[in-house]
Amino acid sequence: MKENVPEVGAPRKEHLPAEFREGLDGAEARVFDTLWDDLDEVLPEPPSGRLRRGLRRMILAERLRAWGSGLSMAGMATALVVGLVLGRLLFVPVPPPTPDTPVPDLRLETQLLSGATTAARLGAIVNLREAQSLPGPAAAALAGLVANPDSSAGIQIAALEALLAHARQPEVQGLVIELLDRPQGNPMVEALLREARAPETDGRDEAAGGTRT
Amino acid sequence: MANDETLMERVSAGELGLLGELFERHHRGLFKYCMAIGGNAGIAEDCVQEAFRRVLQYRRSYRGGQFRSWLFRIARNAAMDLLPDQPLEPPDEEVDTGPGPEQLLASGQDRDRLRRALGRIAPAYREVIVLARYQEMTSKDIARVVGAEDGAVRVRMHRAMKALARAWSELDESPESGHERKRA
Repeated sequence: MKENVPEVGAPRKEHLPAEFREGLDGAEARVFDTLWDDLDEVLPEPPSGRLRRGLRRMILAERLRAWGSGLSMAGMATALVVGLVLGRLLFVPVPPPTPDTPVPDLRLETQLLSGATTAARLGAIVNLREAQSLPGPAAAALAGLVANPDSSAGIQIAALEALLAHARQPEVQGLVIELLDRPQGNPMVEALLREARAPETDGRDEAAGGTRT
Repeated sequence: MANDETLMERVSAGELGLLGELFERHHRGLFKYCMAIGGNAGIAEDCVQEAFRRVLQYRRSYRGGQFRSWLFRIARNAAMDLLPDQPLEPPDEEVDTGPGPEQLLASGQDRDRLRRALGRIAPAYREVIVLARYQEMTSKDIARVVGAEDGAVRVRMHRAMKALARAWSELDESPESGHERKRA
């Protein structure tokens, strides 16, 4: 505060906005100006990263709600498939492999991606999602399913989830970036792609006092 | 880049992703405002989150007008719901003048002391100070947010600054000493 007190005779810059100065005498105005200036940076910065992620989740939820409310009966059936697939992919814990667990033949699973039935394709997608790594042809086939406008919403989303599960692989990252560059026509897929693209943290949470539980 | 009002109209029309731009423009100021009326960072975070949730939920009720005032009004309502016992009306009594200005200026200051002083004044006073200081709102803008007359806001601001000056002068200079004498 002391450094803000003007020297005697120095021209005084007005700090408190003029409309709030009415009725102040000189000494009071001087005090208020000084306090006003010193209020700069008194309040902390927000946990921007956490708030931003919260907003993205809200927008995603709102999109899903809006999307669901506009569905026809056929759409409702699709939404049911989507729900089942997402439930399977996201919420059902997959047991760790044991020596007795059969290792899926990834080439066969890749072939099944173009299988005749939705059930076969979904099964293959789930197996590829859970695989230790994703072979190039399988990744390309999954990306093809996501980008194919003729794919059902359930297949698109399941395929995208399978790709994102292997997003650490550079070739998979490349495919996801390609998908990001073109509209998919499916709000859920686009929302998931944006989620995938969004940085996990911007580092400001820590500055604002760490994670709040 | 589009102004706030145009962006909000597009959000209202269904371009939900544009809410992210409005968030980037306003969430810092909104957080500080929520800090001012809520008193702690946890409440402020909930308040900001809830404000943007309500903007999303009630986006179709946006009828133009200054977006920022609308947003802060929503945040204020959210804070009042989160803190039903928190009075956001100014105290009835006139604030004492307290120590003279010369005494205040002579005693030196630091940011922590000022922060604590700000924390000691009534939330309704903090509210107008923060809106004017950090958001550079005029008394008319503030009136729209707090639901008061323009003139009443100017009076409240005057009392708020007096209360802040008094709280500041009552605090011991050392942040650790705990020699805080009484509430503003």
